[in-house]
Amino acid sequence: MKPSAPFSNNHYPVIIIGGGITGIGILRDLSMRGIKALLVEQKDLCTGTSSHFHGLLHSGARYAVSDGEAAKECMEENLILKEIAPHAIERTEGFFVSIDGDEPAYAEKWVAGCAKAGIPTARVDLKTVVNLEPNLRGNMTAVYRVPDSAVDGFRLIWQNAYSAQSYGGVFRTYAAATAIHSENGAVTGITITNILTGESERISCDYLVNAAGSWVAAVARLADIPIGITPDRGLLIAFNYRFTERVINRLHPAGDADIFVPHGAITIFGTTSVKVENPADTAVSSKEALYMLNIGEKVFPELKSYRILRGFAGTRPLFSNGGGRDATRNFMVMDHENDGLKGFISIAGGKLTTYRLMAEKTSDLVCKKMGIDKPCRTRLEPLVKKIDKKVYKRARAYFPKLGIDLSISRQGDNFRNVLNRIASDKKKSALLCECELVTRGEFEEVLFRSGNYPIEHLELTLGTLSDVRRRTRIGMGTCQGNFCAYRGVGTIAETGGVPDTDLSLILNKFIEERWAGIRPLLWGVQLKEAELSRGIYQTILNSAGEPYEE
Amino acid sequence: MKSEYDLIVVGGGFTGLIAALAAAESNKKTLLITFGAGSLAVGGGIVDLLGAGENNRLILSPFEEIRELPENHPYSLLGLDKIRQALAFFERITREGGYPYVANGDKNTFMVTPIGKLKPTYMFYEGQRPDILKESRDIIILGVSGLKDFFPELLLNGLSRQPLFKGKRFKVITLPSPFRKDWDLSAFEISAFVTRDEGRDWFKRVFKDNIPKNAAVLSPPLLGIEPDGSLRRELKDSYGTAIIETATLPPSVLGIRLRKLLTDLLKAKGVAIIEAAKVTGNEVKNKICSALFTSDNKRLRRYEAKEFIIATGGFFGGGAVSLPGKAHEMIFNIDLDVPLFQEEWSKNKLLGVERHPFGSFGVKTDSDLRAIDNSGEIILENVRFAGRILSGYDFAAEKSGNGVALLTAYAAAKSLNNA
Ligand SMILES: Cc1cc2nc3c(=O)[nH]c(=O)nc-3n(C[C@H](O)[C@H](O)[C@H](O)COP(=O)(O)OP(=O)(O)OC[C@H]3O[C@@H](n4cnc5c(N)ncnc54)[C@H](O)[C@@H]3O)c2cc1C
Ligand SMILES: Cc1cc2nc3c(=O)[nH]c(=O)nc-3n(C[C@H](O)[C@H](O)[C@H](O)COP(=O)(O)OP(=O)(O)OC[C@H]3O[C@@H](n4cnc5c(N)ncnc54)[C@H](O)[C@@H]3O)c2cc1C
Repeated sequence: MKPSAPFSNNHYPVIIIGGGITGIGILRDLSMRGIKALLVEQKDLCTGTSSHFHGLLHSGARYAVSDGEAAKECMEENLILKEIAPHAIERTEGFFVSIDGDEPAYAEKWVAGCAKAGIPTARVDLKTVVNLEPNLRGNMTAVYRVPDSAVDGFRLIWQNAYSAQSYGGVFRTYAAATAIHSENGAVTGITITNILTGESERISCDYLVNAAGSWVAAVARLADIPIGITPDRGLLIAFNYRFTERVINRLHPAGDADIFVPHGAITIFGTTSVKVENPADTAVSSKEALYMLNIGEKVFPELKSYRILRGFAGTRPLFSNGGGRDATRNFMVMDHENDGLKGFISIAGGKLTTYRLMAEKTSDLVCKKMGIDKPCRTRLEPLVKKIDKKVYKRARAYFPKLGIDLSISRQGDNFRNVLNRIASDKKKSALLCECELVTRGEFEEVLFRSGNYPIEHLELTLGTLSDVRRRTRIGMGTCQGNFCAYRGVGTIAETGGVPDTDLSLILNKFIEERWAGIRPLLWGVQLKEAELSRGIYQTILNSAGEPYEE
Repeated sequence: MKSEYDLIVVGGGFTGLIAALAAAESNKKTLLITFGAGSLAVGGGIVDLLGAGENNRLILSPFEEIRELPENHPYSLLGLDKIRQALAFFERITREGGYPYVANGDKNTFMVTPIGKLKPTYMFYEGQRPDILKESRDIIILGVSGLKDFFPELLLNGLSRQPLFKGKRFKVITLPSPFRKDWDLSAFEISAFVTRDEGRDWFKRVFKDNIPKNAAVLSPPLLGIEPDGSLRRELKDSYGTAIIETATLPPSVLGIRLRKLLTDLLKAKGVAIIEAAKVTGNEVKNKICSALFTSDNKRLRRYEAKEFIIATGGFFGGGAVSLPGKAHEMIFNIDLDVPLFQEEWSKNKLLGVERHPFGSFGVKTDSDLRAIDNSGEIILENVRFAGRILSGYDFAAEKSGNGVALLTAYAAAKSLNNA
């Protein structure tokens, strides 16, 4: 074990790079074991793949034939997460659907694979299927029930983050690791650069964990260590309609456009697999979307008539020895001591569903190296402490029941603060976002707590509304920000924040971010809504209008 | 064949209402069929004529710039004389309706938006003349406690950045809520309350208690939902206070007031209106339309007329629909000329200076507003198209929405047989 430098703001025993689910999972795990750790994220938490995915809490059935090991891990973690993260999970169950033309022999192999991995399956007769899922049509030949569920990446990450904080864990956003320092073959620290201001600082550490997801190879390269991983992009489409109550998978060898996951009032549909150069290449193309819709309508014939909210893409890290979807989704913890750099560990691969296990294995290795003998406790304790019955009762005076549950799911234990804000000023119970039932109290709680407000830098301020969006889901529902973005900046103005900032810039930036996801899918109802948005923003508000001088 | 009606207008947005009014003046027996209120319910209740040129350049003198527009623009198709006539018509009917719309000579007027930007428009209700904001050193920005879609501080944040308002002294005054609850209130709710005697008294009382005399006040639209300037006049006469109401996010009180004004006029003229009915079919032979069908509650009804004006709006109004790579007009299934590739429909920035091609997708017509195909052939002899369903202009980028609507509605009605 290395001698640990005295603890200060510039030194942490462990630094974790990457604020996706893997990194945040590790932060919670280490913090619960009493190990002081800092997590740095180049943007905001949950801006990488962990928010650009289906949100399927796998039962493992999808991998039952191709990768029995991964299937088993998924099933085990699926059960654990349902216990510790009920506020981030919708227990929907799932259907695997085979249609005319699918290989019947595959279904047999699949049933056997599931049994081997411990995944319960049950055949459902087609009449029942039609009753349960009336939109699911097409020529179905067999349908099986599995314990798939829906999981929300934003909630899961923030709940992990708040829980980690309560154990002393620290995270910093807009802090990119731009250099890795070492002495005598051992890691000594990193340089972080604020991507908005360009300011850099050095932080020292004894151990460095690279949990940068699709960027894992880029981060390792900072230490001149090659990792054979390439990014691979997948497209997702969010519909403004819960057209299925269950997760739907096609019962065939995993392919394109064969997963549908309901979340609240929406459904997410994916995906594709396209090799890309840059992990940040999350471009959405109309062609790819249409390709997906053509496949998807085989099971949901009305698919093309449903309103689309937006398209978005995420990248997965794939080990370069295998290619595309065939590559194993199993993860790998790499001890770079083997590459000649002590104290440096990378974690790559896996799925969101298995993040906790990945964090456990990584933290085990960190502990072993530190010579600390503390077991992992993440599976024992729920992410969100049980909300007191009394608090709940008090909240009922201001909230509908669903509103309380949603707010707790987003704010975890901080829901108490939301409640206090509302109790001291009833006006704050007004809904800022009707789609996601976000009150003004919750919005303000996040705004003031997020620590980046008020701030001197204009660029920082511009991110404010999107940072709040990820913590509250404003702007992600039916109105796609038309109303709540306006109410958001209105609230910022009313609370007296950032007086030197032209708030229309914040507003426009938010609207443009939403537009980027709509543009490639601009037809049907999306186009109708775009005409309304233009009417509101360009005509009523003239929000991008230049100042007028006589 | 003898039709019951001379004219059927489809669509009860601004365009349809104006077309029906203009036709009724020419003694056409007119029927208006509409599904909803269209963009009047969400729009600003003012008549933009031409407020912005290429690259979002502000336009002060719209008539000069209209000459420079491309030849397929509805303004170019119909010409300046027609535009003058249409504006004069609107000026006259709103005066007759007791809620007169005026303009500032040939110049555009700048209205303050809810975020304190200035928006060029042309005609507006006379009580809304913003000159007073220029003249007064002190400007009060009014709010109401619990009003959810209006933030005086946000308006202030924008307005204090406007060079025109340099050196002004601003003050935000928040009136108490008129109701027991003071959260989740809309301007429409309060305005509806103020329309009643009890509400009007409330407003006068809180106004007197909170607002200094002779003030210039920027306010959300609170002065009732009727097209009636009497409360505004009363406050002006009693306290010397001028109130300029700004538009708000939907629902739009100012738009609903304008709609009320126009529907009242239509009713006075005895025009039959069928609401909540959707035209879903047509009967066309040899380029002549003889009837339209509506279906509500699955029952089909047939309406005959000699001529038709289609004022069904664009994609928002429901007059046109799109699929990947194609779009068509809804009633006659006329294909719209659109790029095959979706990426070419729009630009990277929703609010940027580059114009979105989709903003001007619509039906192409001749100067008589009859739809033409790509070779210039008239598609339907006795059907005219007006308002947002037309191609060749972009209401949002140009700030020309109700201007084009007014002109084309008026022109369509005046070019009917024997009009
Ligand atoms: C299309 C698609 C669909 C998927 N669907 C599912 C699904 O339904 N269910 C499921 O379980 N799994 C799914 N997955 C997999 C799952 O989303 C990922 O395995 C998981 O989100 C990865 O999390 P992560 O934390 O490793 O990576 P990320 O969430 O990408 O986090 C990595 C973070 O590191 C940051 N970073 C990078 N470089 C630096 C630096 N130099 N300094 C600081 N920070 C840095 C990035 O900004 C990023 O936030 C899907 C993946 C894809 C691509
Ligand atoms: C949010 C917003 C704000 C705006 N603000 C302003 C402003 O401040 N100033 C300005 O000048 N312009 C403004 N505009 C633009 C302007 O309102 C319209 O472009 C203009 O009034 C044209 O309207 P229209 O009547 O042609 O279409 P619409 O207003 O869309 O009306 C079409 C009508 O036809 C009906 N309809 C459609 N199909 C059928 C059918 N098959 N059967 C029966 N009825 C049917 C619809 O229900 C609707 O009532 C705004 C637009 C929007 C969207």
